[in-house]
Amino acid sequence: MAAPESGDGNNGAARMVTLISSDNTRFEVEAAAASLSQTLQLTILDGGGGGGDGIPLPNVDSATLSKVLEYCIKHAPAAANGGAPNATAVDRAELERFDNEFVNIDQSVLYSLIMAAHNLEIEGLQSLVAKKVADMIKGKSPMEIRRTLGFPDPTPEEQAEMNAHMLEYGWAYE
Amino acid sequence: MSSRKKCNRAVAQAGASAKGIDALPEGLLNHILGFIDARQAVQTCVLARRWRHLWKSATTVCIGTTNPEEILSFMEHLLLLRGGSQFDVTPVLDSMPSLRDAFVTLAQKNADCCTHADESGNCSNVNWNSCYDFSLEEVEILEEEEILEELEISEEEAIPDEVEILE
Repeated sequence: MAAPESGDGNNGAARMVTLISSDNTRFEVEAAAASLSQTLQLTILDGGGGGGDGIPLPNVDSATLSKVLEYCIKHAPAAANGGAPNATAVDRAELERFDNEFVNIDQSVLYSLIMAAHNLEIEGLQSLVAKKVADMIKGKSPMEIRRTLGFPDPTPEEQAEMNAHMLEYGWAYE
Repeated sequence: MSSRKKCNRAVAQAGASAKGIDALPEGLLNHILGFIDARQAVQTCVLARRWRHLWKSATTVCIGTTNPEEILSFMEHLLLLRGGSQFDVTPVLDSMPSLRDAFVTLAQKNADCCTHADESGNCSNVNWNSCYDFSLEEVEILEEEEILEELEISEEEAIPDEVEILE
């Protein structure tokens, strides 16, 4: 595997960095993969995260971070090629297959993931999860959306408010 | 302007009390709503108080039709309901030529619209927000049905530096 040019001239073995989750688990990962995060990329370019130091991520727990890194490792080669202009259709199909399966997870994990993607500024991951959540809403009635997203059933008072809003925005319910 | 579309809201406010999707900051909820057909995005306003006005501040609006007439009627509703809240229509228009045509039609109905437009009403300006000010000043609503009676598109002097969201 070719080392990315930004790899500090570290030929041969790819440069590794260490990330530390909020619950103090250490993750060693290729710098190229971690650099999918705009936030981490700056630190890594400054030479951070190497050796025994590690980059602390107080907002991300280990379960979420391991999932985030799974995404980054899978997407790093394509990202290193600048959006992979020479990627084959097979490669792209494989990434798509990976993405679809990747977000086929519990809602609570989706929300942790999108928060982490937001905090770490991993645009592709944030969009992937946002799309997934949108797909869960699409084509459903307001009541079905409520249930899907885990909102409690409305109180009579809330139901009255809902009805008033549906009247007000009647065109959207035609 | 598109680079400004990042979520401005404070992040990492996911306290232990908030749970599920409601724990997400507004910027992320808007990102999600951006992938949903606008009609349905409006429907989310019945979910909870916090969601009531959320769709109005979405920076991206997804429209599930390509029929110009439907789009036009849809946009009239949408602009009306969004009232004073401004949003960047350029990406929407760029991605949908039929919607752009619909806007040209809308503009032609109005005497003083876009200063960039040539005789046939085609606009060469790339930023539509600088052509049209989407604040609806003289809108009258029929009492029974919510039908837009008049849509005024007024010329705007300068492009707003930030997308301003009015309550």
